[in-house]
Amino acid sequence: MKRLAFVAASSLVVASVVALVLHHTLALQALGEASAESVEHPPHIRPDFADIVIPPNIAPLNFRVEEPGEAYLVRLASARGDAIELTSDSPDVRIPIEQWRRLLKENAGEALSIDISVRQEGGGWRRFAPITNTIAAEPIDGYLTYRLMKPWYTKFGSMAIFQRNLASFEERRLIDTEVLGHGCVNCHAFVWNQPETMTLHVRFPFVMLLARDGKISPIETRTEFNKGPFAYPSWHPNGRMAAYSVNKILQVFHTFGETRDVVDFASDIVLYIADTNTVTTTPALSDPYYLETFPAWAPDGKTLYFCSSPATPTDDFKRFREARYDLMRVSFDPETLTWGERETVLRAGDVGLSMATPRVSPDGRYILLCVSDYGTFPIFFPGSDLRLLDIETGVLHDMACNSDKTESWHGWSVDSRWIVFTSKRYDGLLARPYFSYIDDEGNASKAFVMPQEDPSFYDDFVKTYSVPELTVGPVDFDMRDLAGKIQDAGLVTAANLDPAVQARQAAEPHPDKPLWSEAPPRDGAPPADSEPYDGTSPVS
Amino acid sequence: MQGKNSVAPGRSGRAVCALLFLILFYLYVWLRIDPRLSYQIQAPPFYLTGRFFSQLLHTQVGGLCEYAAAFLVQFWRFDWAGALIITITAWLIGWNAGALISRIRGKQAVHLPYAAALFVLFAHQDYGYPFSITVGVLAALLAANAFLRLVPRTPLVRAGAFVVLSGLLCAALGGPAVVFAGACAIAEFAEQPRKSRACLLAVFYVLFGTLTPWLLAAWTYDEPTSTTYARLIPREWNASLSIGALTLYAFLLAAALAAVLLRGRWGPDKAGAPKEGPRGKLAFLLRPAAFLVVLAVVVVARFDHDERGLIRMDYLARHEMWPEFLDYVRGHQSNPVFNVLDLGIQHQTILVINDTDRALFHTGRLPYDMFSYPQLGKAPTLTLFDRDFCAKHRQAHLRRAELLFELGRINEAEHMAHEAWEYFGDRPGIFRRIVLVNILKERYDAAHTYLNLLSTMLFERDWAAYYLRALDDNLILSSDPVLQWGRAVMLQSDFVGTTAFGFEDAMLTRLLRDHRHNKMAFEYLMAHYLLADEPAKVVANLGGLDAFNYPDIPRHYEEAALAYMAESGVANINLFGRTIRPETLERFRRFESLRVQYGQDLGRLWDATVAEFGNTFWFYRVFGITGFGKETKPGPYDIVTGAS
Repeated sequence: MKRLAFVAASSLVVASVVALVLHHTLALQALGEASAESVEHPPHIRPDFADIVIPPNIAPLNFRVEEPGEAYLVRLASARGDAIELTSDSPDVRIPIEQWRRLLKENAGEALSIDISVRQEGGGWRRFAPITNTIAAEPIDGYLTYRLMKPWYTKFGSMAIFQRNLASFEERRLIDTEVLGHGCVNCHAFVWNQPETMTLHVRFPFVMLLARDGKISPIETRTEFNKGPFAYPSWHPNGRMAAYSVNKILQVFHTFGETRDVVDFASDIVLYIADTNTVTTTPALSDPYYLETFPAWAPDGKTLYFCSSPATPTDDFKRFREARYDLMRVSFDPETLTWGERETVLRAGDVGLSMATPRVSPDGRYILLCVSDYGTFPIFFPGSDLRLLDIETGVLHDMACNSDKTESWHGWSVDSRWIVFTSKRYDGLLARPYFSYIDDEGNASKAFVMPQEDPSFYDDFVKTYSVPELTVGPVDFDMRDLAGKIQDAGLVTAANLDPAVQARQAAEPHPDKPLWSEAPPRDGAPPADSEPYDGTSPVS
Repeated sequence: MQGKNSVAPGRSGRAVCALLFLILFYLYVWLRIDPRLSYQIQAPPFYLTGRFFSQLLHTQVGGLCEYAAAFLVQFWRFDWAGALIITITAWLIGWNAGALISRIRGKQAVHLPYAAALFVLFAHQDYGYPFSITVGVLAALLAANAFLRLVPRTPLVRAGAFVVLSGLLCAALGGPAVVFAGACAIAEFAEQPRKSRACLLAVFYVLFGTLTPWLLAAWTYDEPTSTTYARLIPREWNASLSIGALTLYAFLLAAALAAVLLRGRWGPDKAGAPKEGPRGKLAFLLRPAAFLVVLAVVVVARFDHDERGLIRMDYLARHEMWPEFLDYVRGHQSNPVFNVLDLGIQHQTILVINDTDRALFHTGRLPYDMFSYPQLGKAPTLTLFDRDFCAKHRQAHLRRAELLFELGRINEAEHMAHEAWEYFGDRPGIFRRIVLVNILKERYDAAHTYLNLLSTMLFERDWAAYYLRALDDNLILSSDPVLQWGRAVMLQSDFVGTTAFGFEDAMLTRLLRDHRHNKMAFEYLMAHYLLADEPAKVVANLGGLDAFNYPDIPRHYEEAALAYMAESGVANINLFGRTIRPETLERFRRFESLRVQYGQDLGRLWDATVAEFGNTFWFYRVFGITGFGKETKPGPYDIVTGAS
């Protein structure tokens, strides 16, 4: 008898709850459709997911409706399949992932319409003009690897490299400096979006992790030629070698305006041959009169692009604003390992801007690069932007994905249709990963931020993203593998310096300091306009 | 049952004892330890968000325990509430440990709860001791008691339940989970020592308890096994080994092992009746009681007053309670931090003096009384501008962030706040500073982000709500006193440097050049000249007296002017319509005559002048320190000034 009563009572409770939910949902829908006042403009939503092109394999674009109201009715529809209808008392819109995936999959290449109605305090509904996005036909690479850190000054506290599955919200820590006992991890680099081969730099201890053929090898990259460790990477398409810059940089601080800045005193480019664990270089990439940095291979592996500027005097860093980098290239024969002469692709003086971090599209048509007023560290420039260079025509295009805030650290998808980059447009201080679609003509679509499960995620997230790199699959190593290799100093192998470079060093030592004073004059160099910190006259 | 002649206290007597103990315990924690001071140096962040919970839970062993502790520690901002939380948890630990030991021993352990609580108290006397260990130990003891009472004795059932519980507890509690494993093993062995199954179970508990972190590392936390094991070792907030936690563990282990050895021997049975034994009835009561008294005395004696004083000063300074800070410094002149003559200059000395100068400025006494408080020549006390010093002592970054903000060096304040963030992790005070910097730099969206984060902290919501309102309301934004101050003094010209550490005089001069009404920059510049023993520069800048409407010449400027006139022979200096007070002149004459009288005999000069002139610029420039807290003659003079 008791059992019967319990079952009856439980059934009654369950039925009541179901009835309430159904009633609420149906009432919202009926109200929304019956007496809605039309609003001519689309609603404000945050993040801004309006008028964008999205990959058909992206995670749900959860958002918050920034229109006041008591209830919200959201309908996502496209040409084919069932629409997704959501009702809620909350302005937070969380789209069911399975329905979302189905909708996108069935409608690749079609428009995606988002209809939003909001019930006002008095009970009336307002139906906003729909938001229309486009679902691209081409999917984006499935995974994004990035570094998350606090806005960095000089101390390394905690930072970590994560990998995010872009089709869901799954995020995995690859390496965390808290596990290592602090330090710095940076510059993760893959062989053309393939996750099987990668390198990763660690500072304190200085070591490069080379993950290749299922093994992880810690490498000491400093040699007699390069006193500093490897920095900015670019893997050769053959996966057997990678170019790195070796930089002697100094961080400087402003007393007004943007606080941080970076001066590159000395930099060269070296080639690391993984098969033989050898470091080599060529005079074209290690000219003592010039700074050479940001190597970037063309997809055929026969051209290396890089940025170069006359060297900055180490004893007169106040002239750091004179450093503007040209885009250069040098030819290379991967079979014989022979280099050609350096050629100028784009002169900073012609563009009026300094160029950084060139990345060649995998189809070889474009170079995506970052431009700023001067220098080598665009992430600290509020006005730094992305530009797209058409290699064939030599035309440098502005891009619609830019904002009035910092854009930097960019990369391509494997099919050259998507770019990812960091932008500080969200709040001007913290960088977030954004995506943009590149069409057949090289036009970039309006960018959208990487979606998060919590629509308000970025509103109180005080870490900054850097070096977002797309890969077609997940990295096959976990933190245990990586951290174990770093922590075991006995496993570290020192890279060998190419005997030819060694011989050249012996005959004509590469100077520790670049030969600034003897550098040829350049056109359009801005006047010196800074003073040392302890001087008495202002910069401007 | 309790015999007529029993000397063991009855139930009501025990309740009275317990109540008295708890009251004393509570008062001790509240009034002597002061949990606000632990919070001051630890301040673990706590956010009311699912993300924070999930992050703690998923990224490290013991995440749940850290979460619970971080939640409770927030209330330590209120000394009475913190004391209540510590008292309750300590008593619960004692009660659970008592129950467990009683079970192991087969007899009631009447005094053990008190002893355990005293060990918890001992741990909490160390201001770096993390509360998560207390929470973890409590949870582990609770789980052990529940396990031993509720799980049937069938070996397989017990082993299975242990595996599940041990895994869950290790994931939830981290290091303290070993207490659970150890307690279960010892109890299992003690209850049936001659049964091989029980012994095997005990061994299994130990082995599995040891293995659990490895399993967790392999399958759950995706981190190296060594890291997971390292996380189990109790550490303080600054990563040093927690002696308090180790002592507590050691006590619990010793008590459990002793209980095994004494199982069934003298002492009261579970009902509280004493068992007749060779040592008599009185011995049972007296010996543990005496142990408790000795333990309590040791705990009280181990309390570090000097450390408390330092943290208290830090607390008052970080809360900008300047008059209270100065009163506290005055009242604690015997703190070794001020004893540079015997102990040399400690970094805390420099930090405290830095706070003292700020307190003096904010109470309007810097030009009048700075030498009435400790000062040091040739140490970066005024603005902590020394890069090496700051690199070694991370507390300097917090202070510099505050000081540079007030002075108007907003970019450098931003820089220092971020360095402090790297060193200390998420702290409300650091986020507040970053918010204010961003508002002053008109990066309102960035300020919004940090304010949103602060809104998820229980006790920061009001502050965040106010500034969130301000961002939408220009009237609040323009009338907020902190922002008004910042705008009035904010450096507007750009200079670049390789570090945020420049020369003090250039830094302060530049501030005055940008804003001639920056009174703090003026007083700090004058203080810099005084500390650098440059009276000529003090005299050269007396024009500031008009600019900042001083009614008179501040005492230390008078002293510098007199020193300058005496040295340079210049009789007429521009005092901007003011006069040096006759009593200052008279004091100078007396000091000078003593100085001439004792010549190079600095020891005798010290004795003759410290009482009357220890608070003057003249005394400071001779000895390089002030007479603060010193009545006897100093030791080697070269400690501070290089003079001999």
